[in-house]
Amino acid sequence: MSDQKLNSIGKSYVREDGAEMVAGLSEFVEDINRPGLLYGAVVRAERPHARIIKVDISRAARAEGVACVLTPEDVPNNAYGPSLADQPVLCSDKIRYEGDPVAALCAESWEAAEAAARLVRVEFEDLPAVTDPVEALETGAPLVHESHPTGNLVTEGKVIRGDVEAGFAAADLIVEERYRTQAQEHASIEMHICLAEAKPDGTLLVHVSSQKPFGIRADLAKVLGLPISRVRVISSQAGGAFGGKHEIMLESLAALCAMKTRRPVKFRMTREEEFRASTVRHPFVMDYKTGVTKEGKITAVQINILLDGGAYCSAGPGVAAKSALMGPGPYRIDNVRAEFALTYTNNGFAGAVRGFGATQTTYACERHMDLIAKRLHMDPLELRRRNAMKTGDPSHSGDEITSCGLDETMDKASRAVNWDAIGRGKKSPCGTKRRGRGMAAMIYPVAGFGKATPSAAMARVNEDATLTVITGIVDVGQGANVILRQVAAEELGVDLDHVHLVNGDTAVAPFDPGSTGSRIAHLGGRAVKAAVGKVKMQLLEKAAGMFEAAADDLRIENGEVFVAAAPERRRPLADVARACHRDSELVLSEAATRSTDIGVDKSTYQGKGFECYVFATQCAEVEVDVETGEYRVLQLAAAHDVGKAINPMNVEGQIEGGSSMGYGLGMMESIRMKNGKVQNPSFLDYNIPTSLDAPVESIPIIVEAEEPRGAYGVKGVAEPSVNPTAPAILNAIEDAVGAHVTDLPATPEAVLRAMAAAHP
Amino acid sequence: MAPAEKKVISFTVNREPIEVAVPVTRYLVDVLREDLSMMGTKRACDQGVCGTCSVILNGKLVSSCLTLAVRADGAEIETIEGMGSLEEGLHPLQASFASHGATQCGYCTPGMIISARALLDENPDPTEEEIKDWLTGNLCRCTGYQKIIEAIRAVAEGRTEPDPPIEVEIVKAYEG
Repeated sequence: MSDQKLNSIGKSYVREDGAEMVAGLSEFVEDINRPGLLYGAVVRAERPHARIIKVDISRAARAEGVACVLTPEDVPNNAYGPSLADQPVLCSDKIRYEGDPVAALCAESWEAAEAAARLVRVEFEDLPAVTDPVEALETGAPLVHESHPTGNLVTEGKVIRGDVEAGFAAADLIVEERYRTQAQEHASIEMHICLAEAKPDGTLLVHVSSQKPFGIRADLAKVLGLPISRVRVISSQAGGAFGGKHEIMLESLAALCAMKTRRPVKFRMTREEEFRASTVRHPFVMDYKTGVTKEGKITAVQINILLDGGAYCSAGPGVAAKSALMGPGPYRIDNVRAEFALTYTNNGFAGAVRGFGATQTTYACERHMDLIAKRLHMDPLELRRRNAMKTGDPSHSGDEITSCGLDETMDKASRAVNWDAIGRGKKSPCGTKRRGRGMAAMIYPVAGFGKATPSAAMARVNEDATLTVITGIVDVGQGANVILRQVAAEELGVDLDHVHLVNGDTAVAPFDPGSTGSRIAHLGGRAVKAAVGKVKMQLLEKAAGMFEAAADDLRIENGEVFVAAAPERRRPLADVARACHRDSELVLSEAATRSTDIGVDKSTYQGKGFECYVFATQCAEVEVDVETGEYRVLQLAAAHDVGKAINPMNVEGQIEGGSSMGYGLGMMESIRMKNGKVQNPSFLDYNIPTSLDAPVESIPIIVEAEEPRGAYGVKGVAEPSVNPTAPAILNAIEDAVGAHVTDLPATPEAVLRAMAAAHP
Repeated sequence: MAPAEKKVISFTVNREPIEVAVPVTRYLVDVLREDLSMMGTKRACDQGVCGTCSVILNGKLVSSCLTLAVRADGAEIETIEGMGSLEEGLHPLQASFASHGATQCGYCTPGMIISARALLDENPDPTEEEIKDWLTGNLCRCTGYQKIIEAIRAVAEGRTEPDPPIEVEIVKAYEG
């Protein structure tokens, strides 16, 4: 595969949508206008747990400019959710967190809608709230969902491989520690927004900002009681998603208003609603117990994971299981037991967030590796090397790892920061500062698990030999569009600018489960390659007649067909395309592909877990001020095995962007809850990384361990780049000043406290 | 709710004279977007923290979500639409952002470019540290800021293309 001459793959083409973005011309949902547009507002509970006695909408309904007010009676099927249908569109009997919607309305302006929403009177009877996942599982805890068969335990499970007791018995040293992570907001710069139109023919058209237009369509059809074919979802350019635009948030309310008023209706969240009412990253409590020989070979690991799922299940079961399967890290360990329990509480509900559960366990695993190295008096890099997974090893769900570039990521990242020469408490030129080095490695799966997921594409060759590719895949900022075009251009043998992509419209495109799980380059790329391969065959067969040669002996390159053995015999591909059209032979195809992760045995989570795996190592050098606990990252080398990099500049952007989000999780971001209410619902009080938080030196490195099943060897990159950053930096802080911080975020105050504990 | 009192104001947007009657409570971002249908300027926090709604008003960078439209009476305003266009040619900052991959989702991009423009107007050759200091008022969740900083540095150096073309190191995994 590596020897193949590639024309489009592996080149850093500039994204075609970049020019629109810089000119201010990208069309986000917020920019779509319609005559007669109505504007929505949601009335939310503003208390964590209560029974609803009475909802009085009469004053709101009479308020100036109000077109309609929705109550639960207006919702045909008032239950939905990506995993369990445990979430009401509008609450009818009780509310379970402060962001729960109790009514919604639309009016002639945003101002009128917001003013009318304040006129809705809700009488509540407050219930005792449970806001701690440990307390939620105690007997007598208030129940969040009375009808859930296992109380506040949403679900539990365990990954079992080998025999951990035997593994611990064989160990020279057993290391135990508890780690905690916090709620993190996606903080997409564009807030949730949608525009719904009820068309005269009975079709519902909804413009969304979403990763999963087909998921939105399915949920809307179910909630509204409409056939799927009557619901058309068009995904506009999304202003960031990161897992937050994964499920319906406002779409059903906008649709119901549009159907009731027969006018177009727009709903949007305010930034405060983003914090109070949309999903967050699951807070985790993780207990790690690892057995290791004195040579540093890990003999067993036992992990117990408790997730705070908040008020509703959302993607929780998948997050929990993935966290457990990735929890032992990118290490060959024969004896594994990783147990997880997902709870309901009256906190804001948690869902999919970039890294999907593996972020939290990668953090704990990699902090724990450094603790083990310290106890063994071993270089943390050496400990990781001795246990690193290799191609052909089993994953923690027992399937074979078919491509693994972990060793290379360790070599490259450590060499880039000059690992052997830096850190270990070295003083910096300024007296109060100490320098430290830290690293973290990672395994992450590509594509969802437990059931196979499909992707599909349609390809059409136009009369001039330009190519139109139609897919259900949406670009949420990660650059999916350009890489899919690169795959298509490579496969057909034409220039990139001859390939046009049509996507994001459920009425036009074939089904796709969405831009999640870092699956697009791998599965979407495979579907596009297969569909384009079919039209290419058709063109070659047509050309065979024109050249009086066998199709097998012909090649297409740079938009020309030629005879492989006699390259001077060539003609433009457009001649062939025109000949097809002249002879009424339409050149179009479709192809579907599906992942091979056909499932696991739920009693042990063993089986074919995932499609393939990516690996990474990040190495950081930090400088910590021993007086203030403040620190900055001097260098961050992030080496990611992504399989074949289709567009290296895009990959680099994903590595840097993910690392920045990981930095935010590790260092500063935390949704502070008090009695079930968010205390910091704005960018003033919830800080995300700014330009000043970028590492002084950022060193992204691409490692290509090509995956046989991927188009041109591609695996994926977007999600997991968030995972190793926080533990690498915390390991570096501990190396610098001895601060053993276990709970995120590692604020300067937390660093000072941990320093005081280490040096009493 | 009683409708707010209206006032007729006039100003220029990208050198074009505008006269519009606006409620005295209306913010400049809403006048640009809703009254003038200039959708390039975005909004994302309504608190003046994220910089997404940045415009240049009388030569100074402001958050249009915090600027009452009546305060812009008589002012000269510059928005992303005035920087350059696909038809008449992009401004070097716009071209540089595109060619450096400094856009991912694109939502912060107009505000980011306007902010960078204001920086280069004030300081045509900023150091990397000065760029980082200046950009703290513009949030981006996608890029980690590296490519944005590189794109601005390039323009200060008179380029719009990355140099070297690809900075990232690419290595093949070892065989076997």
